[in-house]
Amino acid sequence: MHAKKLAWIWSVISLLVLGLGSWLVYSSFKNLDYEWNFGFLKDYVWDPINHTPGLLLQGLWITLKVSFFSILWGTLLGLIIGGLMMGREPISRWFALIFVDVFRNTPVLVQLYVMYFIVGTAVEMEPETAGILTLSLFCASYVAEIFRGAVLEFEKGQIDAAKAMGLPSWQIAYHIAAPQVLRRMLPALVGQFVSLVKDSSLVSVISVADITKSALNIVAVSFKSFETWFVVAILYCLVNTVLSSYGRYLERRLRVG
Amino acid sequence: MMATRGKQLIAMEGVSKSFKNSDRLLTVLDSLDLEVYEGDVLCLIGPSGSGKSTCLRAMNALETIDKGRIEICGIDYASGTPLHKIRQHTAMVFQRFELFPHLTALENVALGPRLIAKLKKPEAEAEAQALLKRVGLESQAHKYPSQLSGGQQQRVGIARALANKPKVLLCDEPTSALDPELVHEVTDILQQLASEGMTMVIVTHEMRFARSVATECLFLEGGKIVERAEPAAFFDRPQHPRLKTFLERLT
Ligand SMILES: Nc1ncnc2c1ncn2[C@@H]1O[C@H](COP(=O)(O)OP(=O)(O)OP(=O)(O)O)[C@@H](O)[C@H]1O
Ligand SMILES: [Mg+2]
Repeated sequence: MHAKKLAWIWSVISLLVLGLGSWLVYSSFKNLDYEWNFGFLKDYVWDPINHTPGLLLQGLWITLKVSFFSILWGTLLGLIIGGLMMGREPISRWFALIFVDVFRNTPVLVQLYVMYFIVGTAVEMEPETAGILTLSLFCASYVAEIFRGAVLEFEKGQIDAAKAMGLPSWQIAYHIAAPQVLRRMLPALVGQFVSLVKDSSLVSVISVADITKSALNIVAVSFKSFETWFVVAILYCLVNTVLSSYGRYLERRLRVG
Repeated sequence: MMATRGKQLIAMEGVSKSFKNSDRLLTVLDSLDLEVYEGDVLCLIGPSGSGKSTCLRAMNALETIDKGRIEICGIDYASGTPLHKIRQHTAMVFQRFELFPHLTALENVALGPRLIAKLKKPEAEAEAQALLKRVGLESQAHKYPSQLSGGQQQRVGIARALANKPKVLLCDEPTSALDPELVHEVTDILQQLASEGMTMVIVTHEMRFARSVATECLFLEGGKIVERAEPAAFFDRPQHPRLKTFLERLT
């Protein structure tokens, strides 16, 4: 009885906050003396002269590409670094700890600058390569911690049970450890990926032509920053909604009893 | 006496093991000898910390040993045969069950047949279902371990151990994590297995169970088996002074 009453109050509070928020947004827009005009953006979606994708779509493609490869390499490297962190070998464990601390405790923006303008001049590097490399390292440092956390939570007694059954170690890793560790990692991992997609907007400062860079260019020509950033925000939101919905779907499918 | 015995399944010879706790060396097994023959039901008894678990875990190489020799069905662990192959002759039941939490009861039991006997999924699950029926859990097959009581989890543990058709079943205090009223669920099944001729080594603190199930009881003390006798002699006419005081303290 008690719980039911409380649940009802939460619904009312949610609706009130939602109403208040909508009213605030509505009245701000109404008071704003601005002619909204989204029409001009369609030429940036599809180039009418060359019949090719416009700046926005090209930028979206680069954003997807940079995010995808950063997540891929970052995850693989993160698992290796996380493994080293838990290993017995002291030198590699030290190295892994320092790696994680450096990349987690400094701003990505600074990491990008250092990678492109300092490392990138010593070793010839395209802006996009520098961007993907930096974001991969950054992502790896978080994945390493997520991996370590999931492995520490894992009940070790099961390993003895699997060994006693006579399973070889690769089967123990594949059938026993991996599904459980993966399931434990999933929520934090999806959160990390979503935030990486947003962080990928920073590669625009080293002139990678991602969607943020496209928006900067469009604003510079059209002076319509409200509409442009509004649409760009919606595009980021769409990509991340797809990503987190897929994550939630996997979470349900890989339930741990 | 020797003539009535079946095939030798486990032989431990001069096995020593010590643990390094901080900077102190703790000798847990001290040149221990132990043989298990086909049809034996051995109950390993001893004070807490005397090394019963270590002894049992050494039998399937979950614990390394410092000295000595262990042979399972004639295969020496030091012979170079892959460990997992040797372990397939034995099975283990754990104090804390150690079921795989991401698999249902049925999948827990079917895993061994699928991966080790390489059965197809339907056949493996049919075998698993038959084993679950044997431990009285056919109706719980699709539940996850977290949805089962302790007694039910341990019965799944036993079914899982039997699934690989082991020559010897090793049980490390199979009832000591259970509520007292659930203990019989597990001891009844072990008793049944014993009467069907299953070879077992059981570490237990349940003296009444030991007396009724064992063909022989063993007392572990100071890293050695200091007494090995049939239950009646073991409990009613103990020889070793430490066993005498141990049994006196229980009553
Ligand atoms: N991995 C380990 N590292 C260090 N010491 C250990 C380890 N495992 C066991 N020991 C020590 O070895 C001794 C014997 O342990 P063991 O678990 O074999 O005893 P036991 O007879 O099974 O006791 P219990 O009845 O409490 O289960 C104990 O003193 C224990 O503290
Ligand atoms: Mg023990």
